[in-house]
Amino acid sequence: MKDNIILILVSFFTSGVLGVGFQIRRKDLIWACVGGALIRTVYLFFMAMSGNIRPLSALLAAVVAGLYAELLATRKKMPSTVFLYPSIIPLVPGDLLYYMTLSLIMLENEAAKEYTWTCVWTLLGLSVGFVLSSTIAHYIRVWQLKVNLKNSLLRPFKGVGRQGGGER
Amino acid sequence: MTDMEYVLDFAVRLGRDMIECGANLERVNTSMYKVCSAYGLEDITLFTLCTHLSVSARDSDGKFGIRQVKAQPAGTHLERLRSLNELSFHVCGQTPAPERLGGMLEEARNAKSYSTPVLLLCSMAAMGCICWMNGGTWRDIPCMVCIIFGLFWLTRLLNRTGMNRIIINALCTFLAGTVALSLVNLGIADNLNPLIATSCMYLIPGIPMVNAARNILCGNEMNGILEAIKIILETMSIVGGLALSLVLCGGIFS
Repeated sequence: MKDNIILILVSFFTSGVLGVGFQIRRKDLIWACVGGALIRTVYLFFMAMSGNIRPLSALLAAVVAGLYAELLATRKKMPSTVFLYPSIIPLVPGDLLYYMTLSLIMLENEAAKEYTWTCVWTLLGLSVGFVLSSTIAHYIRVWQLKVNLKNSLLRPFKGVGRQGGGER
Repeated sequence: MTDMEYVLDFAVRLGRDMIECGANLERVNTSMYKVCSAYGLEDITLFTLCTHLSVSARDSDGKFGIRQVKAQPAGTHLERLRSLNELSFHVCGQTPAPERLGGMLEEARNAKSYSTPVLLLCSMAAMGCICWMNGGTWRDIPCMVCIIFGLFWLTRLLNRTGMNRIIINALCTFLAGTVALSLVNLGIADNLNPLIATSCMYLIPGIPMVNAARNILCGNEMNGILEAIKIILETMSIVGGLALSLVLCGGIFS
């Protein structure tokens, strides 16, 4: 428990200093710090609940990170990226990549296979989490604007000059 | 220049600047599309990759215009992105005279940046913390900070020479791995794994990696696949540099 609290505090600080690296202005740095601590807490919680299944925990934490970023972006009228990038640092599987390499060099095929799959699934989990959160945020906005939700859900999608896609 | 040309120029340059600040493609496409729509352009077609943007549209007289630019993502600058985003909202809402758009874009681009010493200090502090999270001891953290100090200047120097990112990554990981191995074998640092794992995390394109996967799922398949290939190559170069240092220097020390 004590270790987890320290970890959350360190994540708070780390996301703040990384926010400086991402050139976030001073008055928004606190949101980067809060995001880092929040996502670390959520991630630790889901890791404990799921029995240390990293991809699943990353997916659920990414949904929370996405919703946090979308919520702040709507309130402060800023791009969600500003709040999302520093928050997701605890979720990026950089360590898995290192252990995968190490296993490959040491010719430990089983371990390499396991790390590779965990890394791929974690990345996929993160992406699915972000897509889910943007979709949820979109329909929350639709609901807040009092647009007919049923019509919005059933309306065919009008893209904005693909390749590239647009707001959904 | 006609009004349409001013608007297309502005839209494509706005998109390029947003990509270069680290915006995702959905945001860039939406901004460019809304700017063109706000000035009454029709048949707007966008083609965007993270290295190339193209916008074409038709004005009320039926004339077509097209603009294409090359983008070079240079890192993440979220304050500039915020400023550009604000500008796009302002332009869509107020539709100022098209001739003024270029000047407004220049103003938005001049967003405040932190100085190099501040960035260096923050990188060292962040990586020191990540080293601790990766299982580093109090003796490992100062060693990690020194490695990051070296990597910060080395990546800056090599980026300025215009060297390929793949070679830069391989070189930096090789040096970081060699220094980490030396520090552990000289008894200055305790653990090798946190030092190397953190150096990898410093160089790994973590956010582009997540963005690439997200693009593939969001319908920007072409860009997502290109990005993913680029990231795989960059990651392989990191792995190659690391493997070389572990095999060469590991052999020397053993």
